[in-house]
Amino acid sequence: MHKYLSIESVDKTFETKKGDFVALTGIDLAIRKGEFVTLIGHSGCGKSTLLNLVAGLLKPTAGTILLAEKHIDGPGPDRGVVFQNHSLLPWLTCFENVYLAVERVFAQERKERTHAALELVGLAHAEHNYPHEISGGMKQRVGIARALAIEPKVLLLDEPFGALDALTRATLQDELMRIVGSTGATVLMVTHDVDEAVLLSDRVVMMTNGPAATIGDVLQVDLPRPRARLALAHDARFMELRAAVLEFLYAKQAKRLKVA
Amino acid sequence: MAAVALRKEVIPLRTSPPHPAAKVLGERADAVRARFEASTGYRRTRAPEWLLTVLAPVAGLAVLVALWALIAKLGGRIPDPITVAHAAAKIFADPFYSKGPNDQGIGWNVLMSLKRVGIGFGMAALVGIPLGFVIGRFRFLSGMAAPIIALLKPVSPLAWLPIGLLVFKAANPAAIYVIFICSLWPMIVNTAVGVRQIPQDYLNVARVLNLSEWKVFTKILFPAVLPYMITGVRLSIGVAWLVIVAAEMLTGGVGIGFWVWDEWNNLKVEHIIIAIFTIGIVGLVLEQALVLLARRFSYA
Repeated sequence: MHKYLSIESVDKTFETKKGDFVALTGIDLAIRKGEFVTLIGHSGCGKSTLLNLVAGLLKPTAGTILLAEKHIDGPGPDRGVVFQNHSLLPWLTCFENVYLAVERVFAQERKERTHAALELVGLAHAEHNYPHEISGGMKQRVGIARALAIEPKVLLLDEPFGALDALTRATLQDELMRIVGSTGATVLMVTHDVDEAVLLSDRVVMMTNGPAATIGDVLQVDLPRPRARLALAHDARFMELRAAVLEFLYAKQAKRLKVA
Repeated sequence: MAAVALRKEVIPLRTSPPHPAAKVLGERADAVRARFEASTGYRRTRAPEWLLTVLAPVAGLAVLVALWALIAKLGGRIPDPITVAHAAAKIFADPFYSKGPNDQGIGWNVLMSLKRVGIGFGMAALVGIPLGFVIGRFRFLSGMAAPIIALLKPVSPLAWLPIGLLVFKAANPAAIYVIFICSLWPMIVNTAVGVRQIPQDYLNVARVLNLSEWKVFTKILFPAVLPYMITGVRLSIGVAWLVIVAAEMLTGGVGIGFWVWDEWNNLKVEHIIIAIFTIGIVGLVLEQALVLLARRFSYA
């Protein structure tokens, strides 16, 4: 298997006032080009920390991360990040928000590229709207367009649909499958939604509970693509995979209630 | 279910009732109200609200004038509203006459005061806004500035006047300098607060997009801080307009503050009352202009 994004024996320790806090330990993960991988785990398991390490917003305490054989040392335009809360700049239109990313990376055809990215997420008609004029789902699409417009080597999604209602979320998941299908993007996505993980992924990486979280198990999702939400709802293999993730999360890594 | 899904796709409806200030943007306010009614099925009876917004302020002013007339009637030296109105008609018939340096129309006096406020405030903005940016950005500088600002901010701007007279050896620059001092603090403090309030999300966007320092400043820092800066400007102008009247009483020359003092020396009480209203109206206009400016740059 050719490693495209390679996370090698990564540890992450935060220095806090109460002493060191070990968030992640011994993370090893290799992702192929064009693969869709999700990180799933209970809150506080460090899945977002791992994504931020790949994004370059954080630096690993030990170990290295390589993207296309290049060492990751800080944020860069070879990675497109979609944040949970869309993080659009409210004083810029949708077009300007995407353009800001495009002009950093490309010298030519900036407007065409911006336009194409918005078209890809189905928002060509809302280009000149400001973020507060569009719905939450549309904002997140602009966030995805901004990340894709720079043609990154890998797309990093941090619970991108977590703040959306269930119906909008389903629509955007289908959208994302279509976009990833047509662009062949390599994706690393953080989620806490089991259905989302199984529906979208080629592999589901299940993380143990923190502190000192690590990869507990990796599930290969061998469902054929393109995947149809409704058909899968009755698919035996889908159910099996879904049950496997649930088993991991709620039996093996059940969150113990803290009794004060 | 399909209906629910469709509704989610439309632009979210504003469900709160329209803010009274939205009136200024007439059509927009109507649109907001129409959407509100459409979304809730609740039809607001329109007449009472319209009446309230006009009637209440008119009633308030009427009470003020009535109280004033009553006090004038009870005796003392306070002229009644009608006498003042006649005097005002005469003064505003020719606001821009000039009969030598000590006898000029009220228009010139107001303009001279506004000019001093403009210059003093402008210089304070040039110094205070950049200073606010660096204080907001660097913790050490913030720590350095904190005791200085805490110590000097509560000092009445007029306490600085003798220092101004000493340094500049002239009344006009001393008055401008007092305006500069009193406008400075709100501008520094609000800009610094604005810089500290910038959401980490926006800075993360700047980092993952690898934006240049210039782009970070023009596309993120500056627009994010702008509403706070405008608040600083509004507070500064408000204070400056309060202070200029007092400063001019002490420094003399042409200006609305000195005019008040001059009319007191002439015992023309009706002119003092006219000056009070004029000062109030100019202050109101300045405030409203900046509120409109602030609304232009606020991001819902």
